[in-house]
Amino acid sequence: MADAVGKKLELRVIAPTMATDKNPYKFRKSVDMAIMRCTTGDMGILPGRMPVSMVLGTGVLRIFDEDTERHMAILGGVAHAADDVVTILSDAAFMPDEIDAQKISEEIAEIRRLSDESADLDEKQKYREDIYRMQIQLEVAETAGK
Amino acid sequence: MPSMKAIKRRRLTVKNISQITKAMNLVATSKLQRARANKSAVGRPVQATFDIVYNAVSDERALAQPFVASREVKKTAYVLITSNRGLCGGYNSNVCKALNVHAKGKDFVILPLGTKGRDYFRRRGAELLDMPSTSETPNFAEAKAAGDRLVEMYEAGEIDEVYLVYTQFFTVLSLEPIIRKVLPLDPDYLRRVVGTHLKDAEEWENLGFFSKPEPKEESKLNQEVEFDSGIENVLRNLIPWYLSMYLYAAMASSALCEQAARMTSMDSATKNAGEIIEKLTLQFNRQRQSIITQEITEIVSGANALQ
Repeated sequence: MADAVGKKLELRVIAPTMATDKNPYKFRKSVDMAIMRCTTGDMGILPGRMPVSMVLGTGVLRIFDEDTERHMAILGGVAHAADDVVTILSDAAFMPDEIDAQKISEEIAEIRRLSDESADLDEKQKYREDIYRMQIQLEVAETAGK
Repeated sequence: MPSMKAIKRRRLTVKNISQITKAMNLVATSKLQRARANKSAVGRPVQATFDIVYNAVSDERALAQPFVASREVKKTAYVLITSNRGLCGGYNSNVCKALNVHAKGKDFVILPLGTKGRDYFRRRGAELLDMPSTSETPNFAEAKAAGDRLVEMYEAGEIDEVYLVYTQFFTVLSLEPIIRKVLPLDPDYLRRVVGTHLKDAEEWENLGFFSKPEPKEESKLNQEVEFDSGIENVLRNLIPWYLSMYLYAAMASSALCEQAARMTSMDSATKNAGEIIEKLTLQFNRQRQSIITQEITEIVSGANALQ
């Protein structure tokens, strides 16, 4: 922790489907700390941390810089931290202002209806996972403008 | 000798074809720019993925893991990336021929991404895996579907090694078929591709996806990596990513090559059509001139006979 004082982490979020020629990174910034949802629980990364590879679950990526805290919805992926660079590879990553909360709420209602009508347990499980992914996005959307 | 009418008709046909090839050349030129932008967009993500995967597989514990440890090869899978359309010179046939040579003597199955390659090997009776047809522009979802399928087959023991066959772009006039082993993972190959941890006398292997990185400082080499949920679980999640990203980058490279090949072949087709038009025009004018000369001769000799 003592090593971390005054140092910064470079946080890079890569979502291939969202990459463009001019901006290959979804997010790239020097930050103080990042907390991400791994399959084994939440993991916080500070500058000076020893190299670590992680499997990410669906969850909120919390980014701390100066006195601000920003959130990003990460829908699964992998992450690696080494030499004060944290790289997150994800299928889909959304900032709060990119999420249409109204649309997602409607989709959640529709999936709930389909789930209630379905008798297939596997299908119900898939619907539950879809709803969870959308709820994470809603949670992040609520932080827009804060 | 063909009649003047036939020459005229042929000249018109060639002219129409040259208009089409010219239009196709222009379309390919514009698509080439887009394909170039797509390919450069893939560069950083694929570099980051290779870097992470190399960090994971260079760990000694990884050598015994299913995706890294090599096993007896009974069946080989090839992922063949071709286009869905023709009229692009030797682009498709070159990559198919390269696969044919490489697969000689092997028991193999092909996962075709692109209808041209699929049709080429279907005609030759090769074993093919059913894949939905791919779009013209590279799509990560399609690459992921193919990657996940290969991982499933590899885990089930249906295939023992996977090669990726695609075309590498150097310049518009220099496109080369390339075959690379993607499974099981070879840490030495990855080290050469990543380029930051090269050993003495080792050369960086340029896959054309990203430019040569700077070598890492001595202190940052060979650091022990912690695996949050165990190396097996991390690799289990990382490998499908690696395969999908590699496929995605190869698709982007091939899409760029397709447009470059089409541009070049349509350009030479337009030039050839111009030469044919010139020849036909000359032939047409000669024939017209000979008819006129013949008519004048007939008139003159007719007039002479009347005197």
